[in-house]
Amino acid sequence: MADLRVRVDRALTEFVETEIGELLALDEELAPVAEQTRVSIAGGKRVRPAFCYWGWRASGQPDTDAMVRAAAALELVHAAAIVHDDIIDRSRLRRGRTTAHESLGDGLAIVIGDLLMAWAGQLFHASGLPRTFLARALPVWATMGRELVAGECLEILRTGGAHDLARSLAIVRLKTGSYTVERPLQIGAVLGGADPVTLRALAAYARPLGEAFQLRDDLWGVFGDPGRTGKSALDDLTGRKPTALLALTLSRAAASDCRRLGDLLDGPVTPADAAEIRDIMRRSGAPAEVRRMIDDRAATARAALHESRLAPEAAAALTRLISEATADD
Amino acid sequence: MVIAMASGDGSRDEILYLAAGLADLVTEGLRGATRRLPGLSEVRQELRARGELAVRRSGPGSEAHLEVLARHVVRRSQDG
Repeated sequence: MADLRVRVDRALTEFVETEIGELLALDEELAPVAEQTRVSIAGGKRVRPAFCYWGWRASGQPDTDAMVRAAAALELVHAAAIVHDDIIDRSRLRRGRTTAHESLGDGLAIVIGDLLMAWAGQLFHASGLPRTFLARALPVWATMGRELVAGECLEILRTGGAHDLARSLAIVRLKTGSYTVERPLQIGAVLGGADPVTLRALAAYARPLGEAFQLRDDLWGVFGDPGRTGKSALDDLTGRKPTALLALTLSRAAASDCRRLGDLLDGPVTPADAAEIRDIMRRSGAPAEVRRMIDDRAATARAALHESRLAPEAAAALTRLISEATADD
Repeated sequence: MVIAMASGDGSRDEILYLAAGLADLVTEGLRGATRRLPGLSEVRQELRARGELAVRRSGPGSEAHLEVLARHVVRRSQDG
């Protein structure tokens, strides 16, 4: 797994440095933009490329550098999404580094996000896989893009609105689950020409795991150690994001706590407010319930793998990815 | 108008379009075959990419198998 991460990093660096060379050949003044693209792709866990790669292997295809490049393109989709997401959320930190809009302003950050998304398509198509294989995956790629945008839009439309667990989970499924687990895995499998039985087995594994991944992200967004998550622990609260954690808290907390929570989230959230919000959440039992939901979904994903007839190597890697996507450390 | 055609003569249109498409493909293919190398190099690239995967898919033993086949072909050509 670590080896795959190194190979993805290498493929990304090679591609991005070539592109940066072309960009700077247009005008040296673009150097800060080029530097920011390097920052935007640095330091991720590369889970999306891993799901894509193992979808390919699960379809019975062999290891090849061309597939590592195609899978690495998913990391550029993610990099593009977070640049735009950070603008929307007004986040100042990501992976422990200053965000694109914080460094260069909203205007340049928007186009850097666009550039990264365009690069994602290019790296995928120039990966060296047979064109007929790439053509098979295009509809899934398009679906992934549609779901990513729909999830982001729905989150904005619902921010500050009524909190509802089912709706929160639906947004989660679209916004993160889809482009983190389900679609990357499916893109890999469809590239490899997987049969319908394999595709169904992978979908049964990916759907609960995608939700679990985002639920953990919600939990880390409020209770995570910023030193480890690389994000401010205030962003999710300040943005009044319609998370499952918040919806559960409001459905379980005492009436007085609910009123207080409403007041606290109404204005700018200070670190002291955040500490009080965390106390209210803990008192309601919501964080423990979210943790249970994550564990249930991880168990469902594990059972789906167990019932499938995937190649042992792919099944073992996908099992390891469950821990990586849901563990608390 | 379009809807009426689609519902009334749908299957006839389908056959017409398929036949026209085939004819167009053949014409395009002939034109393509007379084109210069870029087309051929793309075909070569595609075949190479598929071939590499096919060889890897059949496992580490396959290279030896291909080598045996190649030697066999060389021997036969020398005998002939």
